[in-house]
Amino acid sequence: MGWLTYLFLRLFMLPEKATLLQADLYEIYLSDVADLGRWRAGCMYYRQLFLSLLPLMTCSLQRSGDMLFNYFKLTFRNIRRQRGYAFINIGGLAIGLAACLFIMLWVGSALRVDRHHHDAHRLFRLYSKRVLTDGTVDISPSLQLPLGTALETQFPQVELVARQGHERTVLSVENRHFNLGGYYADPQFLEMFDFPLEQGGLTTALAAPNSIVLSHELASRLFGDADPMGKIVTGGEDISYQVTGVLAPEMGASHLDFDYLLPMATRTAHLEDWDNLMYWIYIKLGDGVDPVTFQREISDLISTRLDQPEVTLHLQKLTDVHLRDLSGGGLIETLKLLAAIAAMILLIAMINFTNLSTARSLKRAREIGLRKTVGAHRGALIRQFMGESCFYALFAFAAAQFIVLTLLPLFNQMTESHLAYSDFLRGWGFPAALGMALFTGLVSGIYPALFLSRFKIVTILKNASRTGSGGAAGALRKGLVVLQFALSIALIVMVGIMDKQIGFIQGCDLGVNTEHVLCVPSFASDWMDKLPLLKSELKQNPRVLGVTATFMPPAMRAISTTGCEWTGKAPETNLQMDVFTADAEYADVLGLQLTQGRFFRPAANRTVHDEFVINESAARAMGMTDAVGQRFLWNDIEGTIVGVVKDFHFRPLHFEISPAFFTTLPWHYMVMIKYDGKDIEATLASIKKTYLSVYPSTLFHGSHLQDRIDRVYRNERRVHVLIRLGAGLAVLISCLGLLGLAAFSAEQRRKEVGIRRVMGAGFGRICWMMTRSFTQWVLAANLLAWPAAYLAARHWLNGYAYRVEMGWMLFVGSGGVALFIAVLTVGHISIQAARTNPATILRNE
Amino acid sequence: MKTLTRKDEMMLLAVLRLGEEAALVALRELLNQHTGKPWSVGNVFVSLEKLEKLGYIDSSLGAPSARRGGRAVKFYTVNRVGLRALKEAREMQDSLWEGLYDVIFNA
Repeated sequence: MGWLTYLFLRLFMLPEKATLLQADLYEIYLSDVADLGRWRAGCMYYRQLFLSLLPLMTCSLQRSGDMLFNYFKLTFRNIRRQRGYAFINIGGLAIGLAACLFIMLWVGSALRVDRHHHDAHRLFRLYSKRVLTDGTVDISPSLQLPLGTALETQFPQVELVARQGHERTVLSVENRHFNLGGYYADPQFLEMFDFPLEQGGLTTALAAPNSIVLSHELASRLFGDADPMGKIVTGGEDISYQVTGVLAPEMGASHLDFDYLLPMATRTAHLEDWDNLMYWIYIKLGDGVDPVTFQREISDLISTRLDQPEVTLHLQKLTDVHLRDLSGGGLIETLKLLAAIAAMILLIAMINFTNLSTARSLKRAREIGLRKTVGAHRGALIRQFMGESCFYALFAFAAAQFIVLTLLPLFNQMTESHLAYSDFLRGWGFPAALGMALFTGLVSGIYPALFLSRFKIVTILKNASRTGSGGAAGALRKGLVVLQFALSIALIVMVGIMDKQIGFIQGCDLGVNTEHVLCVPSFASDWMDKLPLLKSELKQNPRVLGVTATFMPPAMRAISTTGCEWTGKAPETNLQMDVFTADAEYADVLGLQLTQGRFFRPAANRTVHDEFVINESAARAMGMTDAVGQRFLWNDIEGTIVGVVKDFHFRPLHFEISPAFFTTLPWHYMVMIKYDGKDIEATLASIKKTYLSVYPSTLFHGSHLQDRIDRVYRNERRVHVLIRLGAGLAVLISCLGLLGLAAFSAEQRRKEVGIRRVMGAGFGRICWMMTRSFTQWVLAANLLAWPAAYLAARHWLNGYAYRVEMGWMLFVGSGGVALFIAVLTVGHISIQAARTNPATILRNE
Repeated sequence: MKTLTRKDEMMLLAVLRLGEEAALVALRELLNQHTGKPWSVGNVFVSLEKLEKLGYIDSSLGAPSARRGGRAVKFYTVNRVGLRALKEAREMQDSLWEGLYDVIFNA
């Protein structure tokens, strides 16, 4: 411990002083040991060292101000003397740092979500876990309303409970209509979360029924510059709401995303209903309440109330909602992946720096020799080189800032995000990045510093050309290049596999025909009544092939139920099934194939809903080989199964196809219109016109099913773009390094090449000689990269229920690509070397 | 002569107060007590170095001891230059405080 401290202190002061200070620290440590014990005293000791860092550093910087300026001058001269080399070195590091900054910005913005609420660490969202008889676990945050009341009254540990229910509707003001998403929320919602009110009272805004709180943006959309308070807004079912509050424009990033809030008190039907699972419940625990113990207490709250022993209640940290999916994985995995890529890029840039500096040492051998001759001791040289590499890193840092500022709009566009440079300047971003740059400078400077300062004067002056190559330095350099390329190749493999998987998703046969299907959600109160009219009107257009009404389009999340019974169901089985509402044309519009029986028959104003259609998975799960004609009971609706459809993907491909059934219950929320895809614009215009003629007082919000599906995979696409960029940069930086090394080696071997040519070596032979070692390094890198890439890719692919095979071709191909690029880089320099006339090289000998 | 900074002044007073015992560890404890905030070892060390370089304090090495890992201890004393600097700093302060005592303490 003592000598380590001594070495640390020696960075700042002369030996005698360091000894003295170390003795002082030791004395304090000994007296601390007597008072606090060994462990705490040790902690205090290192704390002291750390705290002393700042005064010691400022002092030594003040003292060596002239020296620093001298280093700066030297660095600058070196840059000017070796422009190409400096460009490669600083450029490589700058690109690496810029990539890291981009990723830091991206990751930082994701991590900031929901952190701005006060006491965020005491906020939790509840979720239920249901273990089904077949062993599958259903995890869901959708819970019953009265559960919140129960928590509030029975548990004193709970400080606040806020319940929230999703809602979509059309709000109208003076015959202008807006299709919007909002929440039903308890009055405590505004107290718990930091969505500050610009107008209205915190406790009163959501107290009265028929009150509404608008977001700042929505208020200005509805009322312009007029004061919105007290104004009347009409909701979808002709309910009038009075504006009682307006939120401030700065809401902060949150997983809660809404345009307006309605009071929960209006949901009278559900307030005491333990069977309706539609609401998210948030709680704030009292100060000092341990969430783990509390969770154990509430775990069986639902199961005892409803006699469902398979259900347990759990807590999820509010700050985790955005990052972690309840069923595992989630955004956090992506963030980890990106952080790993940033680290890899930085490592590659650092390796470049180290390699080029040691290789270039030859150039500076005489300088070092001279410095030593006139009396520089090794410490001074080490400090000089470390200082120099720190200056390089600072230049690179400045360049990286410039790159980030210029390319940020482009980056935002490519990754479909909204990052701002100002986010980076706020808080710890800037110091952290600067620290990272300096750290890079120090780490990548440390080897050249130690290596260069070790040269013996005699060796240097006697035989300068031998010092830079071979030996330990050469071996290290080889190792580092291999590592560098291994990282690059691994990234290329990853990109290849992601490309394949995403291509697979996009080209995957979902089992449904999603092309040229227009989804039109609607909220008009007379919507259901006029549906037949709409259908017949739309079909006047020969381009329209089919119209169907449903609850939710496929490939989105579905609603699910466990309240199903069927003939031969074992009493202890509880099967979770997804519910789809459909009418007769549904199967045709989406191109579903029936394996047994038929789909629903067309019927006007159906009042009895005693027919069900199930999917193959459901038939399998229920153990039915011949499902048609079997009895099926859903809650209190009894009926028979009339058909079985072939399995189709109605959820994102991350999930397996689960059992599902269709019902004719008219819980529709949108129409899906299939058209033939010829003359698209005219068709769309005509559909819109027809729709508005049937529902003159509503809005037309058509969107294509394919686009909706693409949106589900938006996150995959964004990450994919980021990783592609990362891999590209990694290869680019590696090649910059290789270019530098090749140029250096060509220069060093100029005379050798000249003599070989005079002796009769051909053009090809010289080229091969120059490229051989680099080729070997890249080939060796493959061996390192493949297993690593395989493990990483397998981990990533495990997030998908339906995934591609990796295939060995991809691995070999990536290696090939890296080799090709490397040979291209080195080849240019080799050809140049082989072409030079030997006479010009050897003339001066 | 430059005016003493607040920190220098405190340091010189602490050295005077401790007399024969004025070594880094004891000085730090005294300062911790009087100012009510923790001083880091490095901070005290750097201040003492600076004062010594400016010629306000002299130092002498004591006997090596086991509780310092067998190393000597450095003692500091304020010399005449330091005393004069303290006196001047105080006089300057007094002239600025002149007549304001009531205003400040009975506000």
